[in-house]
Order: sequence, then structure tokens, then C-alpha cells
Amino acid sequence: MISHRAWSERLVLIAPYAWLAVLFLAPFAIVIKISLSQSALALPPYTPVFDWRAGPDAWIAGVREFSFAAYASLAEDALYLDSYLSSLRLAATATVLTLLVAYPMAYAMARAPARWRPVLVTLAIAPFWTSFLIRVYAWIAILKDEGLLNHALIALGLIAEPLHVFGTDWAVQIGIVYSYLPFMLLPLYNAIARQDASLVEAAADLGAGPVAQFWKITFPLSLGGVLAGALLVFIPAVGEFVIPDLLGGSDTLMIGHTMWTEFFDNRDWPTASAATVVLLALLLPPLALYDRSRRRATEQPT
Amino acid sequence: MSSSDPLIRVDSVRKRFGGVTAVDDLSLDIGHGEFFALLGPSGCGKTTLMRMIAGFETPDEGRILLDGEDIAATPPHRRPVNMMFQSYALFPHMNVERNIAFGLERERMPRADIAARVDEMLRLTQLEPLRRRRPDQLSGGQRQRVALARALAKRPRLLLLDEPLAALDRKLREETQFELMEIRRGLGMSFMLVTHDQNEAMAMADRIAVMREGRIEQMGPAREVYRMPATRWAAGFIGEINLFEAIALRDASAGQACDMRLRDAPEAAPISLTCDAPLRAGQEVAVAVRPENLALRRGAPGAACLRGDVVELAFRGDTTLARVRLPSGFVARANAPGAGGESLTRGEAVCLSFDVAAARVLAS
Amino acid sequence: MTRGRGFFRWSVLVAGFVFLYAPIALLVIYSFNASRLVTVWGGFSPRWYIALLDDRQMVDAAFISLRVAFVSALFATALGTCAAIALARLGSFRGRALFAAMVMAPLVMPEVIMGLSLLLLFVALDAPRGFWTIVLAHATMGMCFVAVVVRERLEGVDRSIEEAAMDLGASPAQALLRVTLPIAMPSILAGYVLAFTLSLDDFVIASFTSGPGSTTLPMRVYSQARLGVSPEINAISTVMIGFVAALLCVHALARASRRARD
Repeated sequence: MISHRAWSERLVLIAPYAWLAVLFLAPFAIVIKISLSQSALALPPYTPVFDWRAGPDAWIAGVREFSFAAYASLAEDALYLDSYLSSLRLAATATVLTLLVAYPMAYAMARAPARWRPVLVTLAIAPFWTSFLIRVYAWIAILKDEGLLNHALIALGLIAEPLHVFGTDWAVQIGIVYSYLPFMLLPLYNAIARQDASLVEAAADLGAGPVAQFWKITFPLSLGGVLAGALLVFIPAVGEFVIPDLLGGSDTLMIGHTMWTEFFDNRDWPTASAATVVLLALLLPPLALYDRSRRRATEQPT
Repeated sequence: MSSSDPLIRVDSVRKRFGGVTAVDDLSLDIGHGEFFALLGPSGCGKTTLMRMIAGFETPDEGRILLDGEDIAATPPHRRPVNMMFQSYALFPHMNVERNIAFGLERERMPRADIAARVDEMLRLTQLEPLRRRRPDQLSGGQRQRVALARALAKRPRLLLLDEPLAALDRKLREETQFELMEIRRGLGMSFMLVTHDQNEAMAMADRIAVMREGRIEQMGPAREVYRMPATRWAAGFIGEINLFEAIALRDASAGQACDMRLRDAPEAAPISLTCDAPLRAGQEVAVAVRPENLALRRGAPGAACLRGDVVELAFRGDTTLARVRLPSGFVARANAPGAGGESLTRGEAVCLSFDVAAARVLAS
Repeated sequence: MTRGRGFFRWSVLVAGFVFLYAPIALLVIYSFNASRLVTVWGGFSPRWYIALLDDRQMVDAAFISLRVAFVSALFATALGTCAAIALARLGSFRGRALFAAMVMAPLVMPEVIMGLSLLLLFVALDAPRGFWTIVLAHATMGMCFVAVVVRERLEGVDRSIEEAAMDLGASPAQALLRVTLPIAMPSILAGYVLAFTLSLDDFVIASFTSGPGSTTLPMRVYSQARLGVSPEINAISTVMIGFVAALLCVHALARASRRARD
């Protein structure tokens, strides 16, 4: 059973493995390769470093021609440095905001009567099924200076002048919180709902008040969910393109957006690739952390 | 195949997982029509041994023979051995009937024969009214019977039972024990039971192998294993037992009677017991006596007995268990029959004695 | 005390779900607005839906998206199910950690990274970009989600059922077909629906991997949304939301009726 596997088991393993190797792993190698090329006004717009069909001698020659020009231009260009920093900052702030919104909700969901919980979970996941693009687009009409939010606030007499939110980093953060809320809700809900209800009762029995019950028992036991949820929001948010593009302003800098512009508008593929490699390198620690927390949660010791 | 071959022969089998040796140079035979039990604490390797017989694990060394033929190369689905899983492993997407028919369909048995066999199994396990239910619509006891019927349907040469009663409550467990024995007698096939519950093994099996750390500590008929434990460990694992420290007074060869003195009865006359292993004078041994074989009397100074004080009494309905502290500090357990036990009080001085025929000398 | 806390919890839930659903609800409501102004209510009218039908490009894009979603979800489901079985049932194998990481990474990987890297792969392989490149890209993304859904189901099922099947005479392949797959089937169907909607909704990866003549619906919506809010976009968005909602309802009903039948 361990040494030799049946053909059906081989197939089940090899098909997805090969697919991912070609369509997930290999592309990264190519991105790295192109990031080391010179940009050129051609189609595709770069000079290939080496032809992998050419054989080992040509490969070595190709390696000699590796160019770090793209990385140099990244380092020289303040736009990139600012984009990276601003992306990390925006994603981190938005992650904290998402946690602040999601935790009370997840807690209330987990402590709701048992017959309500499946309904609440379904309600929390359902927005995930609607198009991301549409959900972000929906906020344009709400946040614009003459949008629904300002209309409502002025009509209620709460403000006299329209709030200027649309086209700022605030709008981007609202967009991230809104779009990624389900990703935070689910792990938090699972982490809280999984807790044995008698733990809190035991704490109460031993003299802990509601505040102590929460901070000493419920919250520490949900930290795994907090970490998983935070990573599920933070990692994709760093590379977000649609939200800054639709809700942000001209001074909103996010690396996903800068890359996109470099790639589609400036057609500088080596620089866009180098930017991707650096972004991936930045995201590797949180990705590894996510992988570890996921493995701790799902993999049984074998 | 010759008629002298046992059904299953496990021959010097060894199995390691990483650095842990689960089964260590183990050999045993299971006869035709025998009800055999592997008894041991969790982690002793009994489940690994069973899984090797079923074909889910491969021995690192040694052979497993079925009717004299090595079955190492036979995958699990071609072995005439079926297993009742501890978790029952019922197929959740099939009803009771389909679960039972599954193995027969794999044999490409004609439809009519399958239907007949399924009916027979349903009758045997009294599941007829539930034949269209799914596993999640059954109680624990019903699921257990489906698992049994499913494994029996193929008429395996050997049925492996992995902790078959562990998930049942106490009362159901006892009923099921009798049912299992009755079913086996009716079908006349060999059963191998794996359990950590000595009562279960005692009640059902013809022969028991007591396993410890991958090896067999003792193997023999159920009564013999109970009455004549081979080692202190086996004695302690199977049932309650008192191990009185004693010293051999002279050399004796195996099978000979040997005089020895109990540490807690220094003034009493030496007792004479038969031992299995040779003893030297002065060797420390244990004299093992089951609580039900310890007679308990009040006071009675002077009699040849172990004197002590009652420290605790537990009423058990038909008997009263008394814990008696002896001068060495050893606390012995004795069962006093209902009437005798009820008048005892804590702190009372009592006297324990036993028939030498019910005692056993353990050198190791 | 308890009553006070209960009230607090319900208000949190209500506020949270209003936050989640109000933007979508407003978008749907304003798609029926007679006025072209997207923030002023001018009465009920289905005019923007009628206008959609005349928008040739939008209708073409919708059909491309549906075809891409249908085909890519088939690949995603087959591959994702295999990956889930490998991870949940095959125990340890060489390269398991890498495999598990590759199956999980696309769930969190920023889409721009996946889109860009896939595009560069297709360019390097000289593959003409269009329908099939989007299908391949979406299948890769979708299989990971399918794998998560199916794996969760399989891990909830007793690990010894396949052993029981083999013990009863099923070969490993038969155990897979007759026991593992039927048990996983509800989650496999759910995985298909998920992969289908993910493909239908995806904009970023499709933008990288599409070619001339294979503009998908979200790409069309995006190019219009960049120009500002318009009631036509509200209408097409509502159609997309309605389509996915209908799909989910059909799926849920089919599941419920299957359950009732058994």
C-alpha cells in the first residue's frame, strides 16, 4: 500500500500535479526569466535572454547576458518604492479595519441560536459569489461626492458639505474591507463556534466576569482564526488592482495598479516582471505563514 | 494445502513505523474454526498485526501464510479475509442492503444469489426491517450489526473484528457478545478479535494472545491465561490480582513443588507451590492470587494466614471488595461474599488465606 | 444582562449584514431607475434592460463568458477533485508539501501575479491568446477552490471507508469510483458551481490571458465602469447577480430534492 500505488491513485495524483507544475510553477520561472531581460520595442516587448531549446552552451551564454536593468530601474524609480510601501500600508490598515468589523459579527454569529447559524453563515458567504468587480463598482455610486451616502447624510442634516471620500485612500480601504469581509468572517466564525461553550461557563463559574470571559478565554482561543483571516485579507489586498483603480484617486498608489499600468500602458514587460518578482518576494513570508497555519489546521500527522 | 496447516500462520513477523517497532518477531497460528483474540493495551501492536493479515500493511520481515501459502503479494481486495472496522466504515451513500451486497457484487455473484445472501445476512443480524435505511439513520448498535453482516456476507475464511464492541454501551455490549458467539457457531468460520478489553476476550475467545510492546506475552486458552498468568505483567493486565512478595526457601526445578515464605507472613509455616521455572534458594518471586480466591476471616490470631487491617470497603452487590493493608504496606484486595462482607468495618483486623491450588508463582 | 447582550449581538448582525448587502441592493434598485442619473430616483423603468439587448458587444461578451465558465469549470472540477483525493486520501507522497502549497496558493495569490505570469507563459509558448488561454487560466484558479471544497468533505468522512471497500473485494480503482467519488459527489457539484461563477466573475486574470475577439463580460463591464457609473452597468450587473443567484438556487434545490428522494 505504501511502496506501490494503484494506477488510479497515480492518475489522481499526477494529473493535478502536472497541471499545476505547468500552469502555476512554470509561469513564475518565466516571470523571473523575463525580469532579467532587456526591454525592447517589439512584440513581445523584450529581448529574450535565452532560448531553452538551444542547449546548454547557449544557456550559459544566455546567463551571461542576464540583465538587472529592470531591477535597477525599479530601485531608481521612486514610484515603485512608494507603491510598495503604500500598498503594504493600505493593506495592513484595511486588514485591521476588516478585523474590527468582522470580529463582533463573527462572534455574534457564533453565539446566535444554533438553528440560525447555518443561515447566517450562508448570508456571510453569499456576497463572495457575486462578481468582485460589481461589488466594488457598487461603491462608486455610494461614495461619490454627489453619491448616495452624501445625499443621505445631507438630507438627514448631519453634514452641510459633501464628504470627499471617493478617489481617496479611504475609499480604497472601504473597498477592501467590504470586498474581503467574507474571507475574514469565516475563519473567525469557525474559530469561535468551535470552542466548547462550557469553557466560558467554567470561567464564569470560577469568577470571571463577561469582560474577563472574553479576553481571557474566547479571544485567545480564536487567535488562530484571527491569523488565518488576516492573512486571507492582507495577501491579496497588497496586490489589489480593481479597488484602487475604481475607487482610488490619482494619488492612490498600489503596486498591483502600478504593475498593470507598466504592463499594459507602458508595455515595459521586464520592469513589470521585476515588480512582480519583488511583490512575490514581499508576500512570501505571509504566504509561508498562511501555509503553516493552514497545515496546522488541516493536516493530520501521517 | 494440507489439512494439518493452520488457517493462518504468522511467522516471525516484524513491522516498524519510523523508529517504532510495532510488531516484533511475532509468530502465532490461528486454527480452522477457532475464535482467537489478540488482547493488549493500546499501542501494543495488535491493530498493526491485524492490518497485516487484512493486507493493509506489509510486514518488513517474516511471512503470513493462509492455508500454508504466503499471501504477501495478495492485495487486500483479493484476500479471503474480511474485517469489521472499529469505526464500522459503513458506506454513507448506500443503504443497509447495498452495504451488505457491496462485497458480493465485487465477486460478480449472480443477482439472485446476492439477494438471497443479503436476505440471509439481514435475518441473521435481525436487520430486516431496516434494510432500506442509510447508516446515518441507524443507532450505534444497528450500525454495528450492519458492519458485521457486511463482513460476514462474503463468507470469509477469517473474520477480523477490530474492537467490535468499543462503541456500544455496556448492556448492549454483553448482548452483542453472545450474539457474536452464536453467529460464529452457526457459520463455523474463524474469528480473530482485537481488543483491549480482557472481559470481552475472556467471554468470547477460545484462545487468547496477550500482546505487549509488539510481542506476545502469553498465549493459550482463555481460562488458562486467566488462571495461570505467565508473568507479573500479564497477571496484572488480565483482571484484578494480588501479587504477594515471597522468597524461595530452596532450589527447585521447573514443575517441582517449592517451599516459599510470604514476606507478609514471616511466622507462618512455609507454603509449598508448584512453579513453571526453576528457582534458586533465596530468589524473590511473586505469588499471584485472584481476589475471589482470597478468603477473608475476622481476627483469628494464630491461624496460618496473612494478617492485616481493612482500609476500605466497596459494596458490589453480590460481593464486597475489601482492601486490606498488610504489614509490609502492600494493599491486598479480597472479595468477601455478600453476607460475610456486610458486617465488616473499616480498621478491623482480618486474616487472609488462600488455597495453594489457586495460587501461582511468578518468577518474572 | 443576558437580554442586553442578546440585543447587542443582534444589532451587530443586522448592521453587518446591512453593510454587506446594501451596496448590492442599491445597485439592483437603481438598475430599474428611469432617470439616467444614477443617484436620483426617477421612477421605475426597465428601459436599461431593453437597451442591453441592443448592445451587441455586451451580449457577445456574455456568451463568451458563459462558454469560458462552462468549459473551464469542467477542467477545474476534474483536476480539483483529483487534487482533493490526493491530499485527503493518499497519505504521504514525495513532494506533498509542494503540492499542497500549490493547491492552496491561488486562493490568496494576488490575481495580478497569476494573470501576469500566465500571460508570460502563453507568450513564451507562442500560444495564440483567446478563448482557450482564458479557459486554462480559469481552470487553474478554479481547481484550487474545488480542491478546498471537496477536500473538506472527504476529510469529514471516515478514512477507513476505502479500506473497507478494498477489504470487501474492490480494487483501488473500484473503491475510488464506487465509494470515494459518490460520497464526494455533492461537494464535487458544489465545486463545479463555484468554479463556474468564479470564472464568470473574473476580470483581472481574464484581462491578462484574453486576446482579440475574446473579451469577457467583466472586461466589458470594467471598460464601461472606468468611464463612470451608468445605469446600463447597473442593469448588466443585476443580470449577472441574478444569473448566479438562480444558479445557486437550482443547485440548492437539486441538492435538497436529491436528499429528500433518498
